Amino acid sequence: MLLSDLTIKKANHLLKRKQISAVELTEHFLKQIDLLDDKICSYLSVNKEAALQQASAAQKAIDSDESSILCGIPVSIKDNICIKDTKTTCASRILEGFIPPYTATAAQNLISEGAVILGKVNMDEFAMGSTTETSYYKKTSNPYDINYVPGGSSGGSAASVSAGLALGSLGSDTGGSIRQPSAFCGVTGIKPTYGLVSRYGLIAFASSLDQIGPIAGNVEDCTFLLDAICSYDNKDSTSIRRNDLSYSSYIGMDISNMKIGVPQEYFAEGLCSDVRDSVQNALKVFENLGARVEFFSIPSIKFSVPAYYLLSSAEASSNLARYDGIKYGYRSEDSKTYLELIGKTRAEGFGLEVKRRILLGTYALASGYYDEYYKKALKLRTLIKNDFNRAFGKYDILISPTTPTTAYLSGKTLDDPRSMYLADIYTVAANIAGLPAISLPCGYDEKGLPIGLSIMGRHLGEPDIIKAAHAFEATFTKKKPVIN
Amino acid sequence: MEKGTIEYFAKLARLELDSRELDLLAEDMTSIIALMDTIKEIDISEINESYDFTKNNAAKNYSNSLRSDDPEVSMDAEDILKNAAIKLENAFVVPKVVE
Repeated sequence: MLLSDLTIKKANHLLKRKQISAVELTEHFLKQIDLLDDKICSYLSVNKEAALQQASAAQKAIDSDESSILCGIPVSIKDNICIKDTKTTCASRILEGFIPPYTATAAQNLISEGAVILGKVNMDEFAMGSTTETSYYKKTSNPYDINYVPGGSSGGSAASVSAGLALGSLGSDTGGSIRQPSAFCGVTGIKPTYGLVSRYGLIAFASSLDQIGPIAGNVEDCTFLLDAICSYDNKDSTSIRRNDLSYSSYIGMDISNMKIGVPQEYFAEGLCSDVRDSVQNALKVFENLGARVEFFSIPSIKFSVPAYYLLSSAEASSNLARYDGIKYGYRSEDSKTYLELIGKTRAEGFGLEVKRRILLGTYALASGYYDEYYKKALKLRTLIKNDFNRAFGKYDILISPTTPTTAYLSGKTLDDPRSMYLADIYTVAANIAGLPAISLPCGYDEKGLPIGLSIMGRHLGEPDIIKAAHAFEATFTKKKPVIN
Repeated sequence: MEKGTIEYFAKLARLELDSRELDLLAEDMTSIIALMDTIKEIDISEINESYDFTKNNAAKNYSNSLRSDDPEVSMDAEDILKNAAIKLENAFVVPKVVE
């Protein structure tokens, strides 16, 4: 049986028709991980025994005809999402050996649907980075060319799906961390509206920006995962109470008459020509599908990167104050005083990028700097949010590239944090304004590396971005990676 | 940024830095703060800050949701303590803080 072109939907059909068992399906993915993950290095931990037990339980549900679409589907989970009794490191030394005593709501929702958790996947340390190179444990490779990075911070999630080592994954997105690696690895990822998916059990980076979301091989598979993970949760005070929607029901819906806005600031200097051409071709496709495409301006976009880094770093400096070596994780040895213990534990436990962000956040919040940095960034947040809300009074969706370039060569970017921060210009506004956005493949550069198309929606506008993304996807021929 | 300034903020954040990190971070922070300083180009003094992010102007069904303050079963002390590097009976162990 050919399992190389599997999707969640196809796997579900095979399982329902008894053409494959859930255990055989999980065994296939575990074998692929054994075969290929030495090269891709997407997994930080694989729990074969637990995965096979879950598959066996899923088979019972399938046999009793009481299973959902995700029952028996093998998935990977980013290592900042807690699963009870499963090692969760956030790719940081400071959480080495941490075994959570509870499970994140989003992961629990997948488990309750019968999904099989293959393992935990790599990421930038504390989700701070865009290459997955800041992980303390290993560097993940891009399945399209192992000399290139998979993007980040959910690089392990995107690479595991792209390489056929999971049918779907949960990532998290604070400033583009689902969409950018999805773009680099030629897969599809959704950053949901802030509050749609519970953050309970997601190790906090920047609480007002963090959001868990799905990564999968296509738009429809993402909607199956999204349907499962979004639920009201009284353990997260920002959780949205909403009427139940089935996002997968928007697949295949007509988009003629859809109004599409294209912020011209996203086509400025620094955008590489292959990316520009592919996105412009995509805009033509939307016009051919009957949508109206219009360029317009949101001048406040130019402040989105500094506003994002001030806010996210300020929140991170506070959130990461909890790591003192006492209650859990890594603890430095031989400290004589309490302060020495904390200082040494954090010096040895955090990597350089995390230290950079903690310092920036401490600076932005410090007495004498608070008003001109943190408070002003909060005002910019209002400005950007209002500007995007105004745009969505006129347009149904906004389209842009997901990233200014395709994937970077490994080891070439870590020395220049400022340039890396600036590359987040296309993704951070969705987090600042709390809006949903999807990235899906729309082309390949001259080296064969994937190009991502970003579609942003209004608040709770997931149906619009799903309809539009699926309509485009139906016209686009994807190229699978050849791993060698 | 001056190394002394980095050391000051590192102390506030309880981060010990070695001399290599101090050199690197002093250089990085200069260019990062220059990027942050671009927000000074715009005067938005009349705009309010977004403190409560659960309020979005475009959303009606959206407000901070708090559960009622009822007692619930908590995690076992044993579960909480199992991740501590050093523990004694039912407690976390810290270096001596009183002389």
